[in-house]
Amino acid sequence: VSIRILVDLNRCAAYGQCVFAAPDLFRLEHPNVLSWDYEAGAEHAEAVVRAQLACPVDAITAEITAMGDSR
Amino acid sequence: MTAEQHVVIVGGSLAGFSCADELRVAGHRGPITVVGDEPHRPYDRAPLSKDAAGGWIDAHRLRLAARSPLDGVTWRLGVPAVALHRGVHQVELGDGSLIDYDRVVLATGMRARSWPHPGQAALEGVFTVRTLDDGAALAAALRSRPRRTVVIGGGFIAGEVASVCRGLGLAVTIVAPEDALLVSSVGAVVGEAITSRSRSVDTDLRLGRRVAAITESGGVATGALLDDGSRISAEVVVVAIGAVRAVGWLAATGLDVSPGGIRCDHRLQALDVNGEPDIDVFAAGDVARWPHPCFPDRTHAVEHWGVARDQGQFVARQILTPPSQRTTFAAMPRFWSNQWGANIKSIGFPALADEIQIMLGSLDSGTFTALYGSQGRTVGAIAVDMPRELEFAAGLVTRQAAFPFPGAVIDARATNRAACPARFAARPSW
Repeated sequence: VSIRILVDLNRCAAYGQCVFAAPDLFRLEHPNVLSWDYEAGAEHAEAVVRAQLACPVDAITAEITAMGDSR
Repeated sequence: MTAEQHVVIVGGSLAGFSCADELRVAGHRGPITVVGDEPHRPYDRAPLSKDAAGGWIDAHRLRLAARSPLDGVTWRLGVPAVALHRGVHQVELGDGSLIDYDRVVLATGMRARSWPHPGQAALEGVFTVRTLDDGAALAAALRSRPRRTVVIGGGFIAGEVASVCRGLGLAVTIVAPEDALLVSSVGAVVGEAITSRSRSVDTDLRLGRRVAAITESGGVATGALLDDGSRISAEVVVVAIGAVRAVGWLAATGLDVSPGGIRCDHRLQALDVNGEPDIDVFAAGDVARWPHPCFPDRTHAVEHWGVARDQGQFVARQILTPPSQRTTFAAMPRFWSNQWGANIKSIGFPALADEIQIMLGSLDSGTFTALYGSQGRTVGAIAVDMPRELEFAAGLVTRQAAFPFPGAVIDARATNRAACPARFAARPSW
């Protein structure tokens, strides 16, 4: 694992931009119910950053570790 | 206090983790120790009653993401703190070890309230939902497709777990003493709307009823006996009757601690029994009981994800601030829940209200924004499947705007529910 993702669902207003930016990691289960993968491989790093930048309410924290799991 | 001060954080969940992370984000270079009684690295608890219970995500893959590298943090996991010795600035752990601190953060959170009959609580097939291990066990039980699950309780966790069962196509019964779901958190008006949503997906509701006993055969749960004598046959029984604060270890500290939490001042510094703050001891999350500046006459301990995160981060900043310059924790509490396919969001203190006003949408449709008022001011708001619309209401709550809201209001309970003209004013001609 080299990416950890946390979404602040108090901030999240289900705009769905992360789903467009990184459809492998984020999905809307219902119109206003977001689900996502907490952990992902390094190949998703670009998509995660895209999702972070696309989020209109800055709800996404992504921890990207260059050398894999360091803690 | 030097920049090298040792911060000891007791509690390895969201509040404690957020505090450690924020300390590093803010540039603290000194040692940090995080003590946690669970053996797992900090993880997100919220999905345990939702996606993780349903098996849609793995309960073991919920680690919290940090914003800092979190270097130089010592993790003392799998061992509880058993005492705080303020005089000598030490935390004592269950294995007898003592940790010296310069500042300590009390963030031990809550544990699930156990079923009051220990013999029944210990039966195979009886679950609570609080820890990662709880969540993984419940997910495994639901994966085996029980013929029916009984959920005891009418709060958020109960609703979420029952909703997951229906999402998996599993039969589920909720038994709760209240007449509607979520009543204590959102009141009966909104509670009834949520209850309708649960009914629409064929949830068996036994409201106004109590479980007299969890029934068993050979040490395995077989269902529930209700107080009206009826029996429900079930292979899985989920006890979701609330949580209790993990503050027993603070009994002999001289701090003002009760089952209602650790009493703090507005800066989240813990108060002693004489009401004096200990400037080296902070509390954050479920255990912190503090006066919100909008309601200075009372203290609140709020059991929300967002409060744990906000207070953990806030306390980190306080620790790095000289005591005379520390500030007030003033964030409005927010929470969310996902159940019955709906997103429920809240801001403020709805439970302090006596009146409610449907501001947008309608109760019948199950999609609405409600304002909560008390003594002429807006004290809270709840949005069901209106996460974006909540933000307008949030502004009213934050500035404690006049209640009821003076704008045009559609009250879904009113008899006259016909659409009425929006009455846009004609553009002025020049």
